[in-house]
Amino acid sequence: MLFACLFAPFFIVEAVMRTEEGTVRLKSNAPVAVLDGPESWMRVIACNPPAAGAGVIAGMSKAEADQISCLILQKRSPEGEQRAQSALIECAQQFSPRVESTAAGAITLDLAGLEKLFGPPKKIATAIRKHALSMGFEVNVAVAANPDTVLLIAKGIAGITVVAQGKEARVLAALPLDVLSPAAEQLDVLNSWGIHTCGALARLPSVELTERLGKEGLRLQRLAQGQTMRTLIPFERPYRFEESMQLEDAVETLEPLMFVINNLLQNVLSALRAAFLVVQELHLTLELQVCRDSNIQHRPKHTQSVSVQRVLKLPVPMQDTKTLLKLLQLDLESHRLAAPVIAVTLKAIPAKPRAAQGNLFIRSAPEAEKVEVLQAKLRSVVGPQDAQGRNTVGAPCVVDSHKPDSFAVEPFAEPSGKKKPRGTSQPEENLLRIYRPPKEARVQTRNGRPAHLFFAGLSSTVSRASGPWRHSGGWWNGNWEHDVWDVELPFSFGFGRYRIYRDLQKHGWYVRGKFN
Amino acid sequence: MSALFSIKAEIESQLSPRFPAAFGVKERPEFSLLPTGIAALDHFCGGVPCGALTEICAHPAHSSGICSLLMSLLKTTSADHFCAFIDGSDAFNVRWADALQVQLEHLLWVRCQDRSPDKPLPGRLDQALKATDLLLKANCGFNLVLLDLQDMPEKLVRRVPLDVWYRFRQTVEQLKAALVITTPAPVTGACSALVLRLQGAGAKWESTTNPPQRHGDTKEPKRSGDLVIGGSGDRVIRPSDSVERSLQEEHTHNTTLEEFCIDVEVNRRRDFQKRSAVARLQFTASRSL
Repeated sequence: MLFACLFAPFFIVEAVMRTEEGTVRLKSNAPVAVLDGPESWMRVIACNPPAAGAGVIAGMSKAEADQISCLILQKRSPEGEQRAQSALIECAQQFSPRVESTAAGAITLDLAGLEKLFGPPKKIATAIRKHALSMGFEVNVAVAANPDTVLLIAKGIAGITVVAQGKEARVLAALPLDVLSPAAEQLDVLNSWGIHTCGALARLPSVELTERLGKEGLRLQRLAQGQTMRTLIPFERPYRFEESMQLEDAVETLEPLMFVINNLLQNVLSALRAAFLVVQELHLTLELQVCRDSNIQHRPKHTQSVSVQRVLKLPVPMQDTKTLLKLLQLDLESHRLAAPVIAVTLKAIPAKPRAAQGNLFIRSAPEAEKVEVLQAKLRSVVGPQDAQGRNTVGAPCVVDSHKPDSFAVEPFAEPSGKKKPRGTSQPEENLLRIYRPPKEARVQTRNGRPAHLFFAGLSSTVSRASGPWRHSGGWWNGNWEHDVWDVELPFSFGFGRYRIYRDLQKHGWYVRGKFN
Repeated sequence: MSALFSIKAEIESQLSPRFPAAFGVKERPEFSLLPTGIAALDHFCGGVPCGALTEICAHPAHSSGICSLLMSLLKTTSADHFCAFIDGSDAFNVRWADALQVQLEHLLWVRCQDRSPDKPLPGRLDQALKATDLLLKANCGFNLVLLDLQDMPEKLVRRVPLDVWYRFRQTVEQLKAALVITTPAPVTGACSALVLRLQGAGAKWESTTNPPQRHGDTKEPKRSGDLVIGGSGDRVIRPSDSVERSLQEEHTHNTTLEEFCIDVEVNRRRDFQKRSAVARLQFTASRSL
């Protein structure tokens, strides 16, 4: 197995010499020094060979560097270094799919199987160096059978170095200890022993070295001997499933807006498909152009943008463009926008696709995508929520409360297969058809019992009544206190049996429901 | 006359290969049935027909037992099938359904809402009809669709054009789903294959020396059998038995409504089963489990 490492020794300088677009803005022979530190104590931290030739050294103050003519002084740019590192990764990915971002300015490549494509290792290393040079990086390239060794050789030997398997220790022997990046104290100790090269360190007895420098000393020695072996950690570009579009003219109607959203959605979904992912949530951010002045003539001058976000949470991850577009359209139809749209951003929260195997002996559930669109359509007809903030469309479920008519509505989705506890409700509300909200009533009482009931246009004497039962609770959060009666009202050809209650806080009578 | 018949036969013979649907006799397939869980009703007609419209009507002010019938139907159907309930009056009792062990996760509940200034929605009836239309057109695989218009004003329900019910009937025929509509009065006409008219009869108010079962009590609820709502048939409770007691004499807090009888008039149309029939049945809606 072969590995290559490309190392940019003047990485910090080359990073500031690049523009945001990735082009080199300064000539390669221009003397450039990079400053870092607080404004009053800025020091030179790196310089390129022309600057070093002009007398610049690391640690020089800004005032001293200013004295050198033609020297270009630049502040260190962490963002620029990130961009430069990405460029180096891109350079390496031109040759190998398995690439590790080992350190700043150092990339390790797995060359296994590349000989047939690019030729022998020497040729590959030359091609890598040439490609890096075209991107504005002067790099050292090393090829060896050990990922740690290639980094050390690329750090220590300029140009291209190809090391045959088993010869690593011999090549490393001449390198200074600095390439191992030891801690300052350990380097001082080793220097005090007269150890200045990797070869000298490699020859030290391991047991005695460990006794004096500990585990870290042993690790340094193994590195110097070229005996370490580790697994490469391939670089994976972080996926970003977000697309945005700035519109030249504000869009006022839904149809052209959906056209824009469709384009963005297709781009996002194609990125998701490439990563073998599906959509779990969609975040749609619309920037609205709100006119502060009602006078339209002044509109361009007096507009401000307000951003509105709609979140589409899907009960099952999906990837179908038509379904998602329809859901977004239904959502926007039910939530009218107050102003024209000037910018659209669509972001997808990804999830792994469902891996469910069908069972021949189980009745198939309604198709999740279809049901989701259906629920969105139904919500646009009946409204998304009731006055208490409960969903109007979905699967009902019981909540753990004794409060009358307490329930929840969850989005209807494919049953999870987990058995939910059921049948725990008390029988006191059985046979009751609930009135939501309870209907206000007028009740005439005789001896403390309901004798005549008026409600919703009905008026009848009470032929039978049972109760009262005190029903109260929720003292910690919106308490209720009711005296409940079950009454029977005789009509011309039948009976109406109702549950009524007297609200002891509001001092009024209500009909909770009908026994039906 | 014979010449006319011969010309007609000749035209038919020439056109029938090209337009078989126009000249063929459409054989209505046999309806599959969803049992209601009420023995008397299931014995008479087998249950609610799939691929057809069933109408259940009763006076909105009466305790007619429509909800008991629907709950029983939901209980038997939701175990194996997916159901949709379009609740025109938002009156579905979730706790009762849970106590009956209806598979709530198999039920799509659509709650029609009142119009308000901040909710520019159509009226409840329009919402219910639109929702049903959407649900049937979506063809999502619901085997039972319940449309509850029971508490709607009769005048409004009567104003619904007949072609709406006809369209529903056509759609469910293709879907092989059962559509059950509850109304305050019969309105669907010939579109429905089965019409049930429900009317509440006498009730049983049980007086006990022990206080009635409330939440928090440790006593187990009374269990009368496997079926919560079953066709008793043999037990008939007359109104006179329960009404005539004086209010002053009884201890009202010890008395609870336990069950009530429901008279059903079943009108089975010809296209549902081979011959139409009308029958009167009775079942009991019981409160205890």
